[in-house]
Amino acid sequence: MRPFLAMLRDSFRESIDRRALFVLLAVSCLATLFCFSIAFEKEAPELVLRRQARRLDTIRHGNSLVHFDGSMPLEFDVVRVAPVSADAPAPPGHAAAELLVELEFAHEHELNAMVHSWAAFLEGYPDDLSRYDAPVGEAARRGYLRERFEGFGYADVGVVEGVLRAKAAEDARAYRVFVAGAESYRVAGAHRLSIGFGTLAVGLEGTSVQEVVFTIQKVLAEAIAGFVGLLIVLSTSASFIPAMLQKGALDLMLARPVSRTRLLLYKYAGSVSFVAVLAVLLFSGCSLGLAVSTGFFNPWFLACALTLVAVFAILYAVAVPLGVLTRSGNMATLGALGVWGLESTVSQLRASDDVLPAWLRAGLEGLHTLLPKLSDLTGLNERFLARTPLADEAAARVIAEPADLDWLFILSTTGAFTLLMLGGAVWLFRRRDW
Amino acid sequence: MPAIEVQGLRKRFGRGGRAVQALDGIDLEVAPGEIYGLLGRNGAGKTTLVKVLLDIVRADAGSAAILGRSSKSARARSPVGYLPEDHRFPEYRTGLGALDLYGGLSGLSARESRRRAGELLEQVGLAGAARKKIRGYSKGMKQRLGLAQALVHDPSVLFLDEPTDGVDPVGRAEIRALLEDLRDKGCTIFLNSHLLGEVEQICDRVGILEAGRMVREGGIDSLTRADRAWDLRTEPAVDAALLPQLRALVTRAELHDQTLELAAEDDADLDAALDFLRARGHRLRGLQSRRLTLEQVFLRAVEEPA
Repeated sequence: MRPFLAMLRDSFRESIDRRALFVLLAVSCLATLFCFSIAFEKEAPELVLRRQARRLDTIRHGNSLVHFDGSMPLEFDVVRVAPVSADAPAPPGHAAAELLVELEFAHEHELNAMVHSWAAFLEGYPDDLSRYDAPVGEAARRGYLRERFEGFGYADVGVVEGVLRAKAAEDARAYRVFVAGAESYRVAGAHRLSIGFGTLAVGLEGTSVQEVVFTIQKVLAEAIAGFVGLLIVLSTSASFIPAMLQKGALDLMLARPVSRTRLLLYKYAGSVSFVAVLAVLLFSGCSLGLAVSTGFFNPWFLACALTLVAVFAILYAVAVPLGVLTRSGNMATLGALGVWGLESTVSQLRASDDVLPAWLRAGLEGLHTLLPKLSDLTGLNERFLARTPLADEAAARVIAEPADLDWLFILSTTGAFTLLMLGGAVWLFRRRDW
Repeated sequence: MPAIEVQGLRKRFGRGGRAVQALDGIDLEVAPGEIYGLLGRNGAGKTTLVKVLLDIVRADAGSAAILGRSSKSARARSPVGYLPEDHRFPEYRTGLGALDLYGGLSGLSARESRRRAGELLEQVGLAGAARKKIRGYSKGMKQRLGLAQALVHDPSVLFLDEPTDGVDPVGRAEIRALLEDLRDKGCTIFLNSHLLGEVEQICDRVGILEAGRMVREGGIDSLTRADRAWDLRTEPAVDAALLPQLRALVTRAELHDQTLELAAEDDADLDAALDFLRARGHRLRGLQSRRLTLEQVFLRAVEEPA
């Protein structure tokens, strides 16, 4: 244990000596500071509700809102948004209602188009066009409205039909919708987002505080830590083992009463531990920042640190045998980055819908079996973050449907790859004269 | 039980025509508490022998043991300290930090390592630079630190490869004193050095390697003693006219200034020569075995291997 602790301390010292470490710490601190600097300012509920009601004929497509029919806005009016009052009381069973919105659809088919398009959106736009002409019952229309408002984040939605204007067309439809009872952070667009301690303020459109937090966490886990951080830490630490193996340095280590196997694995474990500390620092700092600034805490965000450490441990296991074989930090770094890039390419090609020649697809499958499943492991981040209690509608928009993966295959082949790499490194290290 | 024991050690580097036989059947024993000096030209196999003893290089044949344990076992290195010739410290560490690392790898707790590090840095004259990064150390300072790291876990067998390389004369004297002190405490020291004078001053026994073979081995006294030659001073001094008669009694008789050099195959011949001189009125004032310098012994050994 003492030799391991000594190597661990040494790995920390070695990492601290590298300037890249300060870049990593700076990235961690900036990310944490960014999370602390976020603030959500509540907007007037009437304003939010009016804005939301106006978006009834739109669906979020990527980062923008698109109209249901793909081009033209549907014809409907938001007649009134006001607190519940004596002249418009909440329906029975909706005593908690606070606001009422009155909607008027010029023609019944406008509302029907919304109902169809919404169903198609939820079902992934099926090709069967005839279904868009199917008749829509009143219950379906009301169900649609309820669902949309619930999707905006309101917990208690009541819908009352009623003709609001005397001179409306025969097939016009008008509704009063009573909404209430949601936690403020779940109400989409109920806030203005400010970043940098108020330096920059952005009005939220069609997104809730929780969705914003989810997106920030996803970017932090996948882009900041999972890509930029991993790239820096891999480039820095891949040279640790070649440095240990330099002539004159290794003699001082090998003369100690520690077997070569343990020496190499301790060095490996030291670097992985260091990255684990950095990951915990980054994720807990950001998690705390987001909790303080948004009041929202998703403990599963912390689990993303595990993914980062696991991916690093696998890629670092590639750098170790290359480092032992060549004693070159550059070769070790390139090897690890090469495996990362190759796996990512194979994974993307496999997932693409492009028609690939049979031989290429067979080759991809072969490579996929041999390589560590880094993309699948990284995909765990989304699964962790998906445990956030988002509204169903928001979840459908921002959380990708998890692929049905064979985790036994993924973990066993990835584990075998890592063990093979480390075993090869140990074998090389043990048999060579130094 | 010998502190170091080597039997029939062979090691070849490379293959085919470019192969180099670094060790060619080395047998060696070093007793506990002895300072053993290993001499040899560059490439003679000195460092390879030490590396095989420490399992840094694996032998093709033969065996090596330290304090009775096969050198292939990691535990055999527990009581061993090693200062390699071209050592390179992790430059990101301070002197204190490096000793902490090597102490830990030798099984010391962090507290013990720090305590020993403090003592040793004081002992090798680096106390003032203990918290300075090694990249700022001079060559001599690194050499002193090298000695400290070899001693950090209080070893009973010490392998030193050119320990005074790059150290100034005062430092060399200090290191010599330190080694003698260690020997007095029972530490066995195996010393590789090109500095023959240094080896002559502190080593009890010396081995000379040439092309992977041990061509001479023995105590300093026996190696430097010339082949049965003596320097004789008499009163009155011997006259050159007597030399032909003396040469009839001994194998060699030469006059150097006032001193007569005699070489005889056995003591009886020497006694006969002394009796001859006494009979002619010469009184014996001094008789001393004639000695070679270690350098002479070394040069003879490598030029005319046994």
